[in-house]
Amino acid sequence: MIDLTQACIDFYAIQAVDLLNMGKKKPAFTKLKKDYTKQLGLAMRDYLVLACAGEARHAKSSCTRYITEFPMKVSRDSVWSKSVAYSPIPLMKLCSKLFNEYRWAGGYGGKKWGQCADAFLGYYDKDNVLSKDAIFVDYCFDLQHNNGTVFNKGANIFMNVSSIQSVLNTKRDNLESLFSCYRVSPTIIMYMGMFDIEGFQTQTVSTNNSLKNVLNYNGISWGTAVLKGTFGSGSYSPHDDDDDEENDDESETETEEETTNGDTCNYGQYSSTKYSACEGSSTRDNNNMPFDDAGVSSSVGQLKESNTKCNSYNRAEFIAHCIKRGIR
Amino acid sequence: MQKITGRTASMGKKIVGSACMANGKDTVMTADGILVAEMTDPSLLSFMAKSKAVVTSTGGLLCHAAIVCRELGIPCVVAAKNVHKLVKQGSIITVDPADGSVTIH
Repeated sequence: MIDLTQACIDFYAIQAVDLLNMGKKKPAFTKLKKDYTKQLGLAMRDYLVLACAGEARHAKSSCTRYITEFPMKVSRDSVWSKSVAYSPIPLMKLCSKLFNEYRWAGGYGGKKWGQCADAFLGYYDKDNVLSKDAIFVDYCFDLQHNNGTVFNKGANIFMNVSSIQSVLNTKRDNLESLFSCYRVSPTIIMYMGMFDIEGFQTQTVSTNNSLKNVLNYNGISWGTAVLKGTFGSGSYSPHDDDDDEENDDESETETEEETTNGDTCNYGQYSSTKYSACEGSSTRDNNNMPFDDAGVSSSVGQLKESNTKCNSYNRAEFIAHCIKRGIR
Repeated sequence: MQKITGRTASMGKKIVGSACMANGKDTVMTADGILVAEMTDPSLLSFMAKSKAVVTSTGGLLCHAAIVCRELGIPCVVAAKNVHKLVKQGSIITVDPADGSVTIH
């Protein structure tokens, strides 16, 4: 599983070093940033699907509508295991509709979950800025459901999620606070050092792992089954009908079990090939911590040697460097 | 003219344009618009993508505006104190990432 708090610290540390490299982008560092961010984004998208599916199971009892084909009133684990058989984009389009357009009760579903589903869908919309990995990850860190961070639902993808809000608050202040309060992963620091960032001491480190495995996350193998966009009537009925605009209008016209012609979503704009990034190995190593300090990759950019100049982990030096460059 | 100095969060060319004040989903962007906000939030994502530059009164170098602008290659100056109070919709402003300055004409 990925230590989300550590991933959050490291993501912003990479962003900070990217800032130091402003105007003189180094290919190797650019690749580190790209690979790390892409992998973290993949984990977040997998998680969002599972989390939204887990929330959608409450629809039959807590919403005016529910997805008729989708498992309801079962455990979250059961929903997760069934969800992986579906193609995630159609599933999330239905979740978006369910959360955003229908009335929810009891603290379940609603607009905040709609934002989570929409964030996922935004990644696959080339016209949406969320299609950029770093923007997507930065956006997702702040996603909240009705009662806290969206990442606190388990799903065996992330752990140590309770502290991310304090990391986000700290990084909002300034870089110095972030680096003085939190410890950037040694592996990330070593990668930063590889790229001749002024102010680091260099040393030789054996390199034998692949950079792309720095988070040890391979992605879920999602199925291809397409969930039908058929909504039935949930048992929740809002009392305050007076201010219930569009949803009640539909209630009057739709039958209890609608046909596929009624509330069927159009999945046409998302091609299956766009989702290929998520269709990797289903293997997830739940025992590995996200960072392995034993070695770092030699496969980055021009760094092909088995031994590469790398910097020692020195937090104070790193902070001093940030300050020296006028970044406070 | 009034010059306010903030921090450069994203490099780029000096931009002269008209200020577009952030107002959530009701923000009005012009073709030469520079988004001006106290701080950015997710509702402004699409407006940031359309703007020539972004200026905020608060925020650090790892705030949403900074990350979005760096990814999109848009000049951005953050922590330009009170800029959102000093600038009005349509005001002509210059954003110079080289020195992190915002000049109100």
